[in-house]
Amino acid sequence: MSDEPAVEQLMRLSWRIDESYLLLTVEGEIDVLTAPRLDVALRKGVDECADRPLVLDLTRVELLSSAGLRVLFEARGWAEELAEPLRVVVGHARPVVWPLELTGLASLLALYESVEEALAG
Amino acid sequence: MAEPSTHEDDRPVSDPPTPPPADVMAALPAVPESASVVRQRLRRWMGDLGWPADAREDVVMAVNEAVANVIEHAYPPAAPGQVRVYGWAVTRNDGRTAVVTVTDDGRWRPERRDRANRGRGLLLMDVLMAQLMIEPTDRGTSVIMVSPAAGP
Repeated sequence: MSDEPAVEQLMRLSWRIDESYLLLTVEGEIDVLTAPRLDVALRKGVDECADRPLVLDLTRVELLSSAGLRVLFEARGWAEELAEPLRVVVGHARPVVWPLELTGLASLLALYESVEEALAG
Repeated sequence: MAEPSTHEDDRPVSDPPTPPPADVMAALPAVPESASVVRQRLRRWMGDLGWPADAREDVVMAVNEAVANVIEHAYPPAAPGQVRVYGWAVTRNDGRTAVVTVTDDGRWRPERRDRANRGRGLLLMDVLMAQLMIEPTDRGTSVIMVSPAAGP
């Protein structure tokens, strides 16, 4: 019996596309294997999102490694060049909030407790 | 033609060194897929020992950073080597601690690129663990982590 989880199951991405916002929901683990996929998705999101806020829902992330932190840091940089900064929903998820706070990234990102709050601006 | 040497240093590369006895072990190729295998084994090990969830996740996070460092920096891209993880649960007066080592046979190259993120990984390891020791040598690097004591 293999103890390797299927790659696609390790991190799942889903988009909700609306006239007034784009919502990318991430579930699972953001590590060296899966972070590149998140990176590609965020780049596309930022590209398509010049006129709407891009909301990133991380409340169901179970591991946010430094590979993921790097992706967030870079995505924040590209989004800054547009009218709307990236809105990151973290709730109180310890696996997400803890590394963001420890590394100081929490103070650089626009963090929200819920998707509703993020959409309200 | 010389006979293959039987000395430990000269063993053929395909013959893995005998691991020391440990409570949890992984010897895996240093490729991105291996990080989640290590995490899964650590979680199962610490779960079976009844480790408190937050303390367990902190160990998993820290070890994952050390493993990711090996995957990303220890070996040339075309020739990934091995990453070895060993863990022990140690009982002390102030509770139980996890001692985990992450070892590679590569060379710890100070990377000019990605330095900011390398810093984040090291910072996480350092803050999450009570003790962190990094021993780089020409023949490989060992990272030794000791977790904070978790309740009795």
